[in-house]
Amino acid sequence: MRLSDAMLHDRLYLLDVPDWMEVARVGDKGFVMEPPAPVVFILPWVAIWGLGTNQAIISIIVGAAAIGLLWVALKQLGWSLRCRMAMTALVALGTNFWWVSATGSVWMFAHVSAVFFLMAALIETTGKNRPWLVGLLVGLAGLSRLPVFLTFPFFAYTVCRGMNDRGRIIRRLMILGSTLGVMGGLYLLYTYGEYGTLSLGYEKGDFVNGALFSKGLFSISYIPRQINAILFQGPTFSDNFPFFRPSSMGLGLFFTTPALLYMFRAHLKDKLILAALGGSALTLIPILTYGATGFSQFGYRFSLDILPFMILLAASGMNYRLNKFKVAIIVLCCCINLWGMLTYP
Amino acid sequence: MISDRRWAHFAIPLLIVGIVFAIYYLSNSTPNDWYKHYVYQAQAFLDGRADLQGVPGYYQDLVNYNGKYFLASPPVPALVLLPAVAIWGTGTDEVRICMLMAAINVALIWILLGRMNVKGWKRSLLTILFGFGTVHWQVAITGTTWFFAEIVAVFFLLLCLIEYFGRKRAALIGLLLGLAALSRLPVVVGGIFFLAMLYKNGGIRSPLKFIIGLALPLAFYGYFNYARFGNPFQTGYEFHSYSSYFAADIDKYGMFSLNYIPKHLYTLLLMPPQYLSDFPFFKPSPEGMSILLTTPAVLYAVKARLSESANRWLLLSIAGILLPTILWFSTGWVQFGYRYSLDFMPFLMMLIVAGMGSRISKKMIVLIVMSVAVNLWGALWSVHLGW
Repeated sequence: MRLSDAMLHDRLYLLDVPDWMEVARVGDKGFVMEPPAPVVFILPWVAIWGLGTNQAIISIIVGAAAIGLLWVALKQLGWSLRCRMAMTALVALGTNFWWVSATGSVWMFAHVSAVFFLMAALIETTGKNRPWLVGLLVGLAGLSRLPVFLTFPFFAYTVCRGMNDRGRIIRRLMILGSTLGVMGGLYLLYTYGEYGTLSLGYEKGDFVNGALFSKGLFSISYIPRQINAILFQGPTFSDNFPFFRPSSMGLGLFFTTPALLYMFRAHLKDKLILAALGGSALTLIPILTYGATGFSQFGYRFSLDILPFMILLAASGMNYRLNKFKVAIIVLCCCINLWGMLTYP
Repeated sequence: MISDRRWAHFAIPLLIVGIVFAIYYLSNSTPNDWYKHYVYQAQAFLDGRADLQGVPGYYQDLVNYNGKYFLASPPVPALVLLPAVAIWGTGTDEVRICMLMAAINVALIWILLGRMNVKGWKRSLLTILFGFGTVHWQVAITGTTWFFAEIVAVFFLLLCLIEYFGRKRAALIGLLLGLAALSRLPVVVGGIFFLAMLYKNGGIRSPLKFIIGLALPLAFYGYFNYARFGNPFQTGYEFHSYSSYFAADIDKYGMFSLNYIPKHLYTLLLMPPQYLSDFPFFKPSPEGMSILLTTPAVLYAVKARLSESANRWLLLSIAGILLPTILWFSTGWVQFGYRYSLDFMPFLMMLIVAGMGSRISKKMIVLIVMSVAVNLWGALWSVHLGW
């Protein structure tokens, strides 16, 4: 929101930044380290209401819109009504996307924005499938959360899906690639405008000097802590009702959304599913080697960078069909995330 | 001449005992024989006493009643130790005997699976799963008082099931279940399964015989309690001196409380390992660990068809055994996994068998390998941490 206000005043930096705010400080200027695409949603409102704009409300609206986009994309994928309803409910209420959307702080809103653009890209690639627009939307998702750029293998497959003409395939891939390249270049240009050097932005923050980043922003030595956050981070136990409280360190992916265990049964002979796995795997590389695990958070928020793909994998693992057990698991996911909403400290 | 078939009937279980004992032994070749209350109880029996004498001063979980020390835990594990204590006295190595009995348990599961008509590789894999893919491994090699009780309970429960799937002598089944229950009291609730199935197969007479068989050890327990505390229903737990670790909870809620259910369910189903910042990055939590992590193959139990009455009764028995346990103040600390799960593990194994179907799949093998790997990790950590 402050960045939107700055942009409206022809600046890329913040002024009068409070001490507690996580920004890159250069002199009296504060630079927002996160990439700028979420500003797209906030800028019009800041133009009207200024810094009094409630970012959390915008986050909720964008999050809800992302769910609507998912519904359309799943319909275009040809899934049955029941399967669509179940998976849409799962994303909306059975994943930490609910908590992240409702929280709407700077880090969370970046996720909401990324998921929105990814869902939009999914609609485009399952609909008219224009490579330039797919690239633009994936690029905007990447300019919300940088790792999302690496979901491109999935879209590289989908923009050419079902085509045999080699020349056409190469042409479409080049359009997708160059659009993504332009978006990436725009980001570098943006950081150049901020710092006067090409940068990812994050390395400028004070937090990189902390113990979490003792081996730099990225290191393979950080992988075990990410594995712990993804698989083993449990709730904290309490003597008082409801006895379990979410830890602000996060909650393991399958604790938060056990239905995602169906990913392990996904049919990898289906090339779309294989592409989803490929896109996810590549995106996970910077996530797993990053120093921080997303504190403070409910669930493991970095997983939202591959949320649409996890849903594709889980639905495939469910054979795109529902039974009482699967519905019960999805309801359980919704209950867990309702609990997170109500009890997160 | 003994026929080849009959030879195999004995030789394979003996071979299993030998191999499993060797692996258990090597897993913890220098065990800490720190707590062996049952050895002192066995010595008391041999001396014609009920009270424990000569117990080291650091021992907890004792009952101080009228100036004498008693053991609240039921006495069958001490009876099992009688021959050894008769030879070696209180110098008896309870851990090694625990390992041996645990190795016999693995042979018993092999026999049980055979009687359940599980054949070939599936039988071998499930035997490996039980012996090395459950907390049975770590409990076996730890072997101190609380762990030994689990192994002895499993021993008698397996004998009970073997008899059920064999000649079905109801009184003997009841007697064996009673002996299991006098190792770990919650196991008595497993009688639900036998009562239901014996009634289904043989009318009202079989369950009555079962109850008579069960009543014998329970009557002995009543007599034992009467001799110690002047009341057959006084187990001694009321006068128990517990570790200070539990004092706050017991003062607040007592020994049984609904308030303990969440932490039991958390330990049983959700509790993760502890994260370390350095290699090997994870270690087991001494509070316990989820059974889904220690034995992921239990997921097959979910696939067991509940339309079959035996599976329904198995599930009910597991829930029944679990019920008094989850009301108990302690979740089993210090432990690897949830050691109380051994109280119903034989029943759970039967549900896993039912859920696996007839064919061996790659997923089945992967889950069993994962279970064994996690329990190897747990056993090694347990030894390293001196549990």
